[in-house]
Amino acid sequence: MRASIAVVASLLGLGAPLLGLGVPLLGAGRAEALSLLPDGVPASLHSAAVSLPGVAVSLPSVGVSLPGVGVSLPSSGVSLPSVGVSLPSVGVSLPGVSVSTPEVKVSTPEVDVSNTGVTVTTPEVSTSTPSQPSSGPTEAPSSPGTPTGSGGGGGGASPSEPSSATGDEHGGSTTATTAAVDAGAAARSSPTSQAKAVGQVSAGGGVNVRSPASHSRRSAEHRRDRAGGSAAGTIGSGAGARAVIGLKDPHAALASSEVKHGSGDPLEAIGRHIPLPLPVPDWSKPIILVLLALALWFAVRSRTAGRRARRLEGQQATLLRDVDAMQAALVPAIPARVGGLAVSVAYRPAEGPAAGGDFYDVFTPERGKIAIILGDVAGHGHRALTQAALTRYTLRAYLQAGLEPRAALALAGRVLADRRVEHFATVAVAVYHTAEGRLTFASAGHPHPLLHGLQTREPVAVCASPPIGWTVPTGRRQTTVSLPPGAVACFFSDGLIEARCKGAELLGRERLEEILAALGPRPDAEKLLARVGAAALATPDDMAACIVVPEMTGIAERVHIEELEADAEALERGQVRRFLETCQVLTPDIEQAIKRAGDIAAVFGTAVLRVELEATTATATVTAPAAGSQAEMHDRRSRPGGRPLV
Amino acid sequence: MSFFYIGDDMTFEHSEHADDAVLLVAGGEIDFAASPRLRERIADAIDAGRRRLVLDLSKATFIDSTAVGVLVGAVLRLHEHGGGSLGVICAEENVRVLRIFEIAGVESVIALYRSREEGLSALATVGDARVGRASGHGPR
Repeated sequence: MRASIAVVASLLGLGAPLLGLGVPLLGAGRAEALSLLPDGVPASLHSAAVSLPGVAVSLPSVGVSLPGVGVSLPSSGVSLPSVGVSLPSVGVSLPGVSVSTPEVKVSTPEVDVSNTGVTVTTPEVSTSTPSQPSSGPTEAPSSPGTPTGSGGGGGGASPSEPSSATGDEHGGSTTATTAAVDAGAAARSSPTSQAKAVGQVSAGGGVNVRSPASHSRRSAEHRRDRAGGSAAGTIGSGAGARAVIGLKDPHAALASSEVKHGSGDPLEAIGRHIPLPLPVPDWSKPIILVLLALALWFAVRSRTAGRRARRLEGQQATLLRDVDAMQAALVPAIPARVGGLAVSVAYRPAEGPAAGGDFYDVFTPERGKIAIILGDVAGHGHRALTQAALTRYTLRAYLQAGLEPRAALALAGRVLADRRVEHFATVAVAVYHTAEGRLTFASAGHPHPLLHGLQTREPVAVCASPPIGWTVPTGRRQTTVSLPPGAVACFFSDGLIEARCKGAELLGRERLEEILAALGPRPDAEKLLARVGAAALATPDDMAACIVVPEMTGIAERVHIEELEADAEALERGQVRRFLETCQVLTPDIEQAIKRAGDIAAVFGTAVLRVELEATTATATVTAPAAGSQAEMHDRRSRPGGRPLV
Repeated sequence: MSFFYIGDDMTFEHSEHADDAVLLVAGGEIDFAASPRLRERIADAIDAGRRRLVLDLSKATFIDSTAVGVLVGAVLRLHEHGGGSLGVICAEENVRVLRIFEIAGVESVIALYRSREEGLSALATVGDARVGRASGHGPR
């Protein structure tokens, strides 16, 4: 306390000139500040630097004078019993006064000023925002709310710049309390008898200084809850009585703010509820309002964004579950062993926008038979996925019913014909007969499966049938080969062979065969896809692979049969001839077969050419298509009808 | 970035040929990215009244199933316009493109000519629709 008193005292010394001069000092900057020290007032500028004119006062610990407190020190016995105010740092710079009074907690219930003639009435400091237009007490031309130290010469012309500003760092508004202090005779050193006490109570100021003049513009009650209140004010009470009480509130740190004139009423209104650093200049009030509005807007937005983010997370979880279900409809999990086959499947979606569309299936239509489906729907999007599922399940149903691979394709080609050509499906369908160790497969616009370990010739690939969806007949070609133990059949989608390698090259079927061969006797489909992905620069299409290896150890017969169903057009185009030549049917037999096929097709629409390929010979048989066309329910061989010719 | 072009064969345009025939030349990589332009160009030709189209793919370095689908779509479009034909010229040497066509089994839909002469002679004669027998079962 002593220290503060000392500080206060020093301030007094400073305050005197300030106050004594009042506004003029602040505003105009008189040089005779020091000369106006009242008698008996030690003019010690303790750690205060006053530079006049344009006084620049920097007080490490500025004592703030309580609004209604007029205390004359030290020669007067002033006992400030409960004055505990400390201003951590107040810097006053004049003019354009910037007084920074961090936070002042003024608790001066009572100041007993005795024998000074100064009556101090404190408690209820009614603070008034400095920005208020002049009203009330400070009838001095002081700007509203500015702490004016009047009293000093000339009626206390209010400074054009407020002398002190208290900024509460929490945006407390500083209000200036004007309280008239009757300085009393003793304090009458200023021309005016009125000592204006202007106190600024910052937000939360617990300052209750009752102004005798009750000119307070507003009360500080609403700031009672705040910890710190700063009351800064200079009490002008003439030359004699100046009291500057340093107020310090350890809890509050006031941000310094420049006190300027301000008279924004909206801010006043806000200031009533939110402490604002007052006074603020007029021009800044609209800006402050805009900023406040912006802040509010952003707060609202961030809240709605947060809520939406949570909602979207929930939806994403649901969608992922749906995607899993869809995935199972197209590329289901297949057991490692189906019937007499060891099966390995893998799927890798495309990089880029063409993802989706590959499908496969491996199942047992009846005992002793294993069916394999692997296909690829062109295009992407949900329509393509729908077509993929539809194609898979349609073919599965036909195979389940016992149709041969090419019969299933032909029927599906009729049933699934889609004028929207962009979602056509290329498919490879196969049935493995466990007892005979034979694989029968047919393809619609799809690459033939890779076959390793065959004991017969390479299958014939010419005269391939078109995809499903082109509204043209398909399922016109079929191959049957023996799969001895250790042989490997790899069904794959064209994403593998169309993987892009360096030099704008495609991986190609030959490279794929090499990669498959390098995988050993029991190739794993995942590894195959991984190696293809590693060998290629980019895989712009889905990749699917299904590798089957027969497990039976019985000796398989060596069978290789190629079948073509031809219509008159195919005969015209020379397709039939090309087919027979590739099968290495002897030329005379070719001519005969073509003629025979022409005759049958003229009657039945199509003719079925069947070539049995052996080591050195190839035998062609031409028959009429089965009754009911492609709806064969059992193995062709055992079916009656169809006279073998040649 | 793939390279693709398509345009009219100017020699053909200026020669004496029927108005409903057109010889288009396409080159580069006819892939997923190039397919829209391919479709557009062919659609323009059909809209302009051409009904017999031959596409010279001798200079094509790559073609994928999307482009094949575009060609088949063109055939269907011709059928909708009352008939027409689409042929493709692809030399034997262009194995890559030929193989794609072979796997796709397009021959029942699109005529494959092994040389430019073969294609031109096909245009000289009257073509026929190759689409419309989707359900070819039983005797006609």
